[in-house]
Amino acid sequence: MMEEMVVLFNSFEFGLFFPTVTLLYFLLPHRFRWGMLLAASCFFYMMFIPQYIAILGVTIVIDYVAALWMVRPGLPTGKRKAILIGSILSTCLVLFVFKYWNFFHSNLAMLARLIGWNYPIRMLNIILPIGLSFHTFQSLSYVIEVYRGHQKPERHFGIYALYVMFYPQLVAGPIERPQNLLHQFRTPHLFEYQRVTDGLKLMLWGMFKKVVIADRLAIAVNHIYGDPRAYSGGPLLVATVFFAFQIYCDFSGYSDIAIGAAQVMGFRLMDNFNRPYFSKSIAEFWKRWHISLSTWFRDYLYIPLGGNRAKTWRWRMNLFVTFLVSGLWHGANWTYVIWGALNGGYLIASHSTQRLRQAMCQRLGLARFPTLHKVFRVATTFSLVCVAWIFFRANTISEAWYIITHLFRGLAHRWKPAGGYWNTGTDQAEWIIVLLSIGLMEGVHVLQRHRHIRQMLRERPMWLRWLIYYALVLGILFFGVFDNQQFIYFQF
Amino acid sequence: MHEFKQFFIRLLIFCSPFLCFALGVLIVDPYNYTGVSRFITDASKKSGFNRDPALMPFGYTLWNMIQFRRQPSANVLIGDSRVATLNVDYLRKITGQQYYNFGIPGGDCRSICDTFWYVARYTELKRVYIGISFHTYNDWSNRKVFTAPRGILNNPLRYFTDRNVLKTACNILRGLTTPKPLPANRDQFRAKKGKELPPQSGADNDHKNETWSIVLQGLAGEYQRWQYPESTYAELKRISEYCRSKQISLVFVVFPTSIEQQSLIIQAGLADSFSRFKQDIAGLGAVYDFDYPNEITIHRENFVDPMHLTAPILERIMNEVWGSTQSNQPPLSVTSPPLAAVDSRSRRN
Repeated sequence: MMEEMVVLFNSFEFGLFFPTVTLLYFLLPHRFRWGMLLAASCFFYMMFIPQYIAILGVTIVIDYVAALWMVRPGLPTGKRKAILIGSILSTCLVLFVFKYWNFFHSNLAMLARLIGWNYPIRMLNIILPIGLSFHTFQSLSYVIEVYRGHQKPERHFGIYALYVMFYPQLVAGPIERPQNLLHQFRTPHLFEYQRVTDGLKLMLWGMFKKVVIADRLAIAVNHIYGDPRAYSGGPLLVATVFFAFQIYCDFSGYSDIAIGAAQVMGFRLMDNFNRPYFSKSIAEFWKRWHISLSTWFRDYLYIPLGGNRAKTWRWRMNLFVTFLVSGLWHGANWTYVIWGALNGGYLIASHSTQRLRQAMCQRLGLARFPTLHKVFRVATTFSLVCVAWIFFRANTISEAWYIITHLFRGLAHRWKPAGGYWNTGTDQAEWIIVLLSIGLMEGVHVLQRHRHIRQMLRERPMWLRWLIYYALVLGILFFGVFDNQQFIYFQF
Repeated sequence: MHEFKQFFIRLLIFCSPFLCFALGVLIVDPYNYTGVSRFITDASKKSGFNRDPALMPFGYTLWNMIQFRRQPSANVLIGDSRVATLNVDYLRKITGQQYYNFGIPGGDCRSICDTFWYVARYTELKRVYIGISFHTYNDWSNRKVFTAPRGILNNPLRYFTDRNVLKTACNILRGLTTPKPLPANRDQFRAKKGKELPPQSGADNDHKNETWSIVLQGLAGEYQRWQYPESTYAELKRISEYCRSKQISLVFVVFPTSIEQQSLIIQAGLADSFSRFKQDIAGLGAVYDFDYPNEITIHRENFVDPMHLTAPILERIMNEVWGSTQSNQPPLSVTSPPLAAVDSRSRRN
């Protein structure tokens, strides 16, 4: 078995890698920077399984050549389309082989057994390349945008390779669009104090979310979701809510570190989260959660399928299909497919019941209390999202079903500490730390409703700012969990 | 260039408290990790974590990992706080062999397995004595005491930024500068509640009774949630096979627990599981089993709390397990009798 290693953002190795690369970046003349960044990104990726760089290389070459080929003068539209389809299929083939082959075959084998056909299963014993779904989608967005004429093909192979491989967003996004990122590699970036410190602050905040909140919550969540049938009521309920915060802090923490690291060097990556748990509806939630992926599906799947400019049934089907594919994108497991279907179902139900809900709201008099109505909507949306997260986190569908059906069973009994509630792999002190940290994070989210916290901080005296930064660093050092816990989205 | 310079100056100023802190840790070196500082004796350093109940599992694990890496021993004692209290000097006296005590207060079966594989990495083992107990032979018991110390050994930077290391360093400095010594911990349950620590001798019965009931309450909760530890048993089996293949003497010691603790097992409906636990370990290596109703377990005065023994009883156990010729007492360790006997015995008491 090959020894795998990843330069995690929360690792000691990244603590050496990032300053070294950044320092080199600013010391080198602009014309050499792309080369250095590409080499650093290759190194970053090769720390996982060096041979897998070849897979990434193949994808890069296919899409680079396809894009150049597509814009040859005089090429008929049919041929251009054929090149696009060829490029998409070959890129997706790599994804299929590494991510979906075994899933596809095991399901086919199950079907074969049902009809009594002896199906020879050929399972592959391979490790999924880290972040494969992310750079595949980033690569696809490039060829599609070139085909649509929204982006000129990049002739510099190194710069195109860097667009796919740029290390801050290589393994878990944000999934960038060529219009936003490619030109930035050609722009010289000077060392700007404000920008650099803003980037570092964002990284610090992301690190806080990851190591203090997400990794601490992971202890209890893994404990309970590892053997959910041993629990009922309170622990299942708490673990589900904890998972909602864990996945948010894990992924948004990663995104903050990625965006911050890029910002330090002068690159502007797209935002990936916008306080999603304050959403008042599922539709709003998907505009605030994993924005780079949601917009990717919107632009390259939902709209091409016809979007909402179609008959109602077709529109609903488009919505449902988009979410099904989104679920499958997350992982080759039926639990993810159900998670996607559930979210698609929520949206369809939300549109179908809009009038009914408005009428109910009027009848109950909720319209007269807008704040209360808003709180109710936020709570309802959060609850629905949590139910869907159960499928996302559970190991099997039957376990997810067990959790859903036992969420409220024996609630009072299980809340007694002597009955085992506290023995969920964490102690009381850790609960206090985690609840205070979540409170702090949500407090910051509330403050950020209109303006970014960094802008607000800039207007405060230096001693107060530094006090806050020290508190954050000390919080990370003393309350962080440093057992090199992988980022959840790395597996996708 | 000006902004570059300004940034570095500010960064240096911002980081200076952390650098000072790291320098402080380097000078105190609470776990002898760097080995460069020898200003403080090992005894003072150990008092930095062995008097703080919250620090004990982490502190003992990290200390032992570092010490053992430097001076590995072919004979090792592995287990929880009961093992940690065994006196290796006394063992050397009665056996003529040098033992390394890798007992970890707050440890469980997972930490036993982790310890074994850790020590096996550094030396060719000859004798391994494992102190094991039923309440930690439990799938629910997963305290992961090795996680943080292992992280520190893998990443030197963590030594200078870990809050437990800092806390130990502070305790050491406090111990060196305060004339009044820190209270010695004997009871994690009470200490966690912020109460005054109970006496060890058992002279103060009120304190002892309170400790007793708190510990029993905690154990009752653990027994309620007891689940057969499939993975732990598989891991212990792997250890047993490894010892057999390398001709390492593997001995399990089941320490005595008070009759009241034993009766909790029956009350929780775990009599069969308790028997299975003993059968499991009997299949893994030699066993010295003291955990059944006997002259030690029925008398409270032999215990500090329901599972921790007083020094004379520990000595008696060492004499029996390590075969002292000085001992004139009859052997106590046997295969446990049916647990119904425990129940009737405990009711009589």
